[in-house]
Amino acid sequence: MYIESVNLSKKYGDFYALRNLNLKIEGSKCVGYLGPNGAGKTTTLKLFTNLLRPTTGEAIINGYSVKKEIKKALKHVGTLIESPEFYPYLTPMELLSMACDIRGISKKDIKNALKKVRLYEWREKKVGKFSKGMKQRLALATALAVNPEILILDEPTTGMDPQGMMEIREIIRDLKKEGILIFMSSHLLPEVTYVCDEVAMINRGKLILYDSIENVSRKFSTHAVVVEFLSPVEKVEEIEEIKGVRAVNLISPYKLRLSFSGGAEIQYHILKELLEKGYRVVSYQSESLALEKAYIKLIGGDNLG
Amino acid sequence: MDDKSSVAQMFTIAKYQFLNYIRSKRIFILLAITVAISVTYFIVMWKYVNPEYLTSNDYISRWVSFLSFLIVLAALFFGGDAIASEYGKKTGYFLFPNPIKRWSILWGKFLASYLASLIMILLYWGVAIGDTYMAKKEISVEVFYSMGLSLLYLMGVLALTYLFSSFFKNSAISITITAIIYFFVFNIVDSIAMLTGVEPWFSITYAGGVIENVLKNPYPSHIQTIGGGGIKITMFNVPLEMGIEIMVGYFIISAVIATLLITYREMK
Repeated sequence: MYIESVNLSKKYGDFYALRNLNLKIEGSKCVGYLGPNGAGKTTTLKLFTNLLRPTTGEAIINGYSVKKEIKKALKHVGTLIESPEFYPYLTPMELLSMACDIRGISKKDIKNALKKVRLYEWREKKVGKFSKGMKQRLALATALAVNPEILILDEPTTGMDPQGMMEIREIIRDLKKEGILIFMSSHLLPEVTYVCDEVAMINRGKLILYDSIENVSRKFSTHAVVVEFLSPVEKVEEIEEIKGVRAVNLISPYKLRLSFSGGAEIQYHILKELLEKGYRVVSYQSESLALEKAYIKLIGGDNLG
Repeated sequence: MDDKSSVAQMFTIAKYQFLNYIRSKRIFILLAITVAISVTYFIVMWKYVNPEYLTSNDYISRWVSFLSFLIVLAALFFGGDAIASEYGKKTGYFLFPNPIKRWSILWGKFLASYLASLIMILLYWGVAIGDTYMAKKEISVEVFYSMGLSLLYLMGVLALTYLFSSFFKNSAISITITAIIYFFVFNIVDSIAMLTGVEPWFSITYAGGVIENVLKNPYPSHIQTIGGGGIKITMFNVPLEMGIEIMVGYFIISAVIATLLITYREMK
């Protein structure tokens, strides 16, 4: 299973919403699709789901062109694009049945899908009464009920409360274990870091990065941690002498920033030394997400949002 | 897993569209309107029309004179926003990214609209035929021709309504403009035709005249001119063949354009 864009472009007048996107995503994994507002994320996903027609190039799913062979291309694909609305007089059970009936597939996964997104209790209620967050959950249930091999999700946690966001992220992480390929746009970097295996970054309609989260973390790691203590730090020099520490910046008497050379091993060694020296550490974390660093470096002030 | 055929998918769409009509009570509202109109007509016919001096066809033609309005109303009710709402109300984000061709969606919805409208039209015909039979104890074969023509007219009107619905994004605008076109524009065109003497062969409401004309014996002459006081008015009675051709033409042309529109229209 794979999705692929070949020289995929979408142009409105003189404006390129997407320009010559070449990207192939294959296998069971979750790929985060990042970019500022207006970068072309939703345009890409709409091209993969037949909501838009490419100006040039092809959106291909499992070897089939979405434009030319829509039924074959989208056969095993579940989608959540923007914040869909539903026929207000139908119930979640009926809507999910409709999605299954259109494909001619069994409806056996409908109840499970509704349970997963915590809408089972609402299964016989008319959708017109649902909140935005509930509709977003229903949209995800619709994508899941069709037993997809590939999921295309456009900012799936939009409109949800923090608990709902967390639940959706857990669902997506679980889906990876079921061998599904997930292509998910988001503008929430911690979400992508938490959920995805790979990341593709886009800006002004052009792909600027596609790599694993691990590689991005390695490349853009800051080699700095922020440490918080229970009591004020009195001997900064003692900390500076710990092997691997390059510099110590006092943020407050209780909090300091440690720059170090080396990788995760050194980071662990420093924490161990601090504890052995009797420092009461209450927090020890990387200064910022590597993904965030990458995003700022590659897109930075170019953010259209 | 075998691919579900596009025709089977069309019936699936029709099924859920019809369910939507039931759940939204749209079908019951038009049913109530149809019943109210039928009861009103029934009372008026029995109280003010003396069937003694009328033939069976003349009697039922009083019923039929209102049928065109009901057909347009049904088309607006069931087809006015059928496609436009998918774009305007964003339900297309749920429906379109499925492995289904757009024409299956359009024609599935059309089928449901036609069926829902058919129920209303046949109910009205049922009351009209029942009343005529009670009054005149006979129903001529022309009544069934008229009924067939009314169903053909419904096809043409509904196809045109779907064309407008495929064109507009906003449901309210789609319904309003379509209503204006049916209730005002076509009527104005027909009136202008009377004054200018140019036959409105391009007007579907003109073609709809066959539904009533077919009940008349003899069939009214194609062109009648009335003059006086410096004004000449030309009355056009659409011939049967021409009426059928216009209705079929409207159906085919509207259907083709609506199918092309929905196929190539994007959800931006």
